Amino acid sequence: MTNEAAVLRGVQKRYNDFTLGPVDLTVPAGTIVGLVGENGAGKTTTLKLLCGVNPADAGEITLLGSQPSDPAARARLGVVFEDAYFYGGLNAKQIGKSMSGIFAAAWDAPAYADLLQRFGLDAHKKVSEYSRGMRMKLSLATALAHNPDLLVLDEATAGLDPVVRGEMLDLFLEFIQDEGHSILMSSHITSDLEQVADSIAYLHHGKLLFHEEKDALLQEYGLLRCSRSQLEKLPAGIVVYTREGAFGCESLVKGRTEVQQFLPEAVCDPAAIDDIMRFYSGRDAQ
Amino acid sequence: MKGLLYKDWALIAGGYKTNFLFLLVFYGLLTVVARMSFLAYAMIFVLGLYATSTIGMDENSHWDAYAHTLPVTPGQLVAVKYWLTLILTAASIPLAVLLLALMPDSKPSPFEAALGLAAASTVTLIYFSFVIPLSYKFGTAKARSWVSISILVVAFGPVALLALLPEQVTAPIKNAVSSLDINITSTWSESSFTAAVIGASLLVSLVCMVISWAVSVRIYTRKTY
Repeated sequence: MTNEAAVLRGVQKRYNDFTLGPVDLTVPAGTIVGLVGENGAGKTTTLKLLCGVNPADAGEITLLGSQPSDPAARARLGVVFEDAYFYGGLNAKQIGKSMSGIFAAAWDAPAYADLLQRFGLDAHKKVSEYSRGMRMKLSLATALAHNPDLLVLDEATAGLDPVVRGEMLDLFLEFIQDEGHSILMSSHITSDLEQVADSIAYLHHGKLLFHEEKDALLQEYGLLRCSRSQLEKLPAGIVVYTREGAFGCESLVKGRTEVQQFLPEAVCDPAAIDDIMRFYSGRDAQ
Repeated sequence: MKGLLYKDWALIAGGYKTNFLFLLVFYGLLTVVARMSFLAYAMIFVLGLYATSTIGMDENSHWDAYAHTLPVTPGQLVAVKYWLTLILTAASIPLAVLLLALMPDSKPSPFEAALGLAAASTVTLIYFSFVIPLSYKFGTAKARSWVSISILVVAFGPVALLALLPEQVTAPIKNAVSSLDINITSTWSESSFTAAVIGASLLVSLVCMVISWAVSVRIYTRKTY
């Protein structure tokens, strides 16, 4: 077992109206990496490249020690996409039987039945009769029943109520208890990532702006509220972006401890992931 | 592969159960009561249609993209459609035979029936050899138009070409065909002729299916989602 569940090196993908990369991203084994970014930033594109859905135009992708095109590597991968991908006429029992044929010995039918029961899913009910939350749970049960080493989740918690989201996050934390398991999950619900992720990768306009430990990130970035004259006392490179209002300036700063040293009287609260995204996109929109 | 085959089989069984029963009753009655033997042959084509309709179901449910993340190769993913077409075509033959056998009178002779079944199966397999790669290339909705164009070109292209070519070029071809016809009718028995036609049709159909599969795999592998 390598120390990295997935590695992307200089990965690029070009479309007519969008270019991803070059992206360098590592998913260390035994961790949850949260992938954030605005709509159209390239999160789904990145995940699809990693999972072997689309080939990259340039760069190198290592998936569980092999390549995404290797079926043996994909046998150790569990995937949940935002869109449902089982035809509405099928039921969970039929899906399980089909997956059992695809994953062969790796498919754990009792574990799948347990997950369906745990999620309260009727195995004989058609997928089309499930609610969105139930469909996501079914996708997750299908992704977990062959005991994958890497779980890739694309907006898996989007559109779910807080109770169901909570259940799913608990399950992710349970899954990660095994040190060989890893998760790469994209989400617009950054509070979910703040709850479970070990590190955060931020994609912005197809480029990876940073990939940092979540705790360090939340410790490092701050929201500074002060006057323009105070702001000018800070050394260059600390302020990411400033918004000026009637009552002064609000800035995203990188290096909260340094800011507090330079401006002990100013208010500098820890920045949430949402704030970081908001200010970075504001800076680049200029 | 087994799992993929099961998934498609479950889609067909669940989606076409009522349709199949209706088909059996409607086509059965018309064949037997109204002596419309061509409907027995048509059933072969309709059952083949069930198999390829699963491509549209995959497309609509985004299964295609998801399937790339599973431990199966593009060759296997595509091959399932061909196996299903072959299985359903083969399964429809005994049904068609049964319907023809149930006709009280004006039923075709065994040789006619065998040739009719071979023709229906060949048309079905060759037609779907066009449909499957075109569906992967253009999507199931657009593929229908492309199939019509392709069949027009393949079926009527040689006829049109023959009509356009000067007599000195076409005459040797026409002579060769008529001498072959004379040779066959004078030397071959009805049974050996039937067996040869069935064998040749089957061979041509299978060759078309294999070529079509190879083309579909190429298209499927290059597709982006």
